[in-house]
Formats: sequence, C-alpha cells, structure tokens
Amino acid sequence: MAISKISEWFYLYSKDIYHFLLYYVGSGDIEDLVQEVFIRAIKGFDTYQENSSPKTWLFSIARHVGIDELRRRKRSRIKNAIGIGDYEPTEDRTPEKVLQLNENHKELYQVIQSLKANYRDVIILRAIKEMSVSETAVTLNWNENKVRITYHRALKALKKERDGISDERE
Amino acid sequence: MGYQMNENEQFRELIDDIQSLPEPDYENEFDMKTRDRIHENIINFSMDYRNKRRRGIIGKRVLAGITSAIALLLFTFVFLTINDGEKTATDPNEQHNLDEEHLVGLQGNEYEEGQYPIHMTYDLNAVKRYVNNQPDNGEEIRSLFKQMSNDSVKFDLQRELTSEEWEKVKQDLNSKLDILNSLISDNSDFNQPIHLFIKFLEEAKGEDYLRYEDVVNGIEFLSKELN
Repeated sequence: MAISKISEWFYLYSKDIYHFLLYYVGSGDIEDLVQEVFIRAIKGFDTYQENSSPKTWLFSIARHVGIDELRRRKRSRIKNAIGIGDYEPTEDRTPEKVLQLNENHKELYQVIQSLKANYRDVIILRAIKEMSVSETAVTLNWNENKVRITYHRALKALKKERDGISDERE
Repeated sequence: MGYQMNENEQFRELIDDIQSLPEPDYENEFDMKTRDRIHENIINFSMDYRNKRRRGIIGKRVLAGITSAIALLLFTFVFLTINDGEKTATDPNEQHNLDEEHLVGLQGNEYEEGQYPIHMTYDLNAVKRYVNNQPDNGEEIRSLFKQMSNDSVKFDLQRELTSEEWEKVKQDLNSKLDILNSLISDNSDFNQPIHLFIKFLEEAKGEDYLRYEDVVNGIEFLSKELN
C-alpha cells in the first residue's frame, strides 16, 4: 500500500520537489535530497491522513529536509572555519548555473536567499511554486491569515531590498 | 481573495518577476534515468523498511509474551509463598500439633485434602502424654486427666484409625498398664476410676480395629469420675 502510493507520488511530484529544493537550499546534490524526502515519506506514511493532499504533505517533508540540509551545511562551515571539517561547497551546481539565470534573475534569486526564513518559505511556495493560500498554509502548518500577512510583508521586504540594490548601482 | 489581489497589486511587477524565474532543465539536471535510479532506491528502502518493521513487530510480540510469562511465574511464586506462609505460621497451636504428630508415629501417612486429622493428632497427643508421664501420685493423675479432658474438647474425628496407626499407641498403653495397676493399691482414692480406665484399656488391647472415639469417651468418663 505504502510502496505503491509513494511510487505513484514520486513520478507525480518529484520534479516539483526538485524545483522547490533547488530554490530552498541552493547548490548541492538536490537528487539526494529528493530521495531523502521520499524515504521520510515511507517512514512517516502512517501519519499521512488520507483526506489531505499528498502534494502539501510531501512539500512539508521537503521543507524539513531543506531546513536540515541548511543546518548541516552551517555546521560543516563552522567545522571548516575551525579546521576540523572536510566540507567543500560544490560550486559547479549552483542554482545560477543549473537554472541558467540571467543577471536580473540572479540578483532576484540572491535577494530572495537573503530574506529571513519565514519570508523565503512563503515566497518560494506562493510565488515560485504558485501554491494557493490554503496549500501554503497546510504545507507550512500556518493559518491562512498568517500566510497572507507574511507573504505581503515578504514581498514588501523583497521590494525594499531590490530597490536598495538598484539605487546603489545607480 | 480579491482583497489579497488588491493588497498585493502594488507588488504585481515583482510577483511577475519572481514567477518568471526559470524552472530547472529537468531533461539535463533531473532526467528520467536519474529519477528511475532514485525510484529504485526508494523501492528497495521501502521493502527493507517493511521487513525490518515486521521483524520489529514480531520481536515486540515475543518480548511481550516472555514478559507476561515471567510476570505470571513471579505472581504464582509470590502467591504460593504467601499462601504457604499463612498455612504454616498463622496458628501456633496448629504448629504445635503438627510437631506433636511425630510422637504418635503418624508421620508418613498420607491424607486427602480436607481430612487432615488435626483434632485427632491433638487428642492422640493427650493419650500419649498420659502414658508417658508415669504419674506417681493421685494429684498428678487428677490434673493429668483434667488436662486430658480439656485437651479432648473436640472429638470430631475425620475417620476411624487403622490398626497400624494404633499399634504404637496400644503398645505404649500396654507397657504402662503395670504402672497403672500398681497405682490402684497405692492411691485408694482413685481406685475406682483408674480401675475403670484400665478395664477399658484392656478391652481395647484385644481389638485389632479400635475406634478412637471410644478411647476418647473412656478418658472423658474417667475424668468426670475423678472430678
């Protein structure tokens, strides 16, 4: 039961999850993270509620996988800084290269990455993945009002940052 | 929704820019081959995980069974220990009687449940005490018979005694008849009751199969005569 459903969901949503994780964690082996998402889905299949959407459930897992990966990288960077780590960031698979971003997109991508976590989450889900408010609310385990307000504030912060960069350039 | 649209209308250009960010080139970066490989890994993991869970569930059941069996054994052990303790330590008088049983040669006999001859043993001990005390004056005999009478309050025998069980008691009684006979002449006050008792014992002596109740009645009769 679990195997067949997860197998079906893999072919339905793996691209979306790859896309989300690429924007969420940036560089690195996103394939491994996609695999990790579905492994966690198998482990937690008993907690999945039949009436809920598999897409939001998988995105919720993907977000946690992304958070864990960012923390792991942060720990590795600290270890590297004090000389006990062996982490080497892979510069050959940065989102800029994978996504072949032009200058305008590269700047926008970097500004999104510089936002605080809540803002980044809601921008990626609402604007990039084009999820509805209710889907975003389920994925982030927030209420819909919080999604609306945070999205509005995130856009405001993003615009401010972007305008700031434009002003500096001029 | 309309409010949301209006609220974010000022960011329309920005939203459009964000939505124009390109999607990955799946054919190069996340092609079918890569997806099939990941899918295979997931399926393998899923089967391993299912087997591991199944083994875990069986292990838990076995562990629960073993734990239950140990708990049952412990409970049985504790219950039996408490029960045994109650049987052996509640009544010191009963303990005394059981010890006395050795004196009358009843050790080794097997009784069915509910037929344990507590009263019988006690009364037999009264007889035994009588024949072993070798009374040498009238006062001692009087107190002895009183004691025997008190001791023999309960005559509710569980069963009749067999000749084997009585054999040792009878031998003891026979060996004391001479002493009792000599007391008749020495203590004239007690001639009559002692004579009656000796007569009773002599009658009993010839019986192979003697009812204990008869012996007890004789003792009771004698003690009344003495009073």
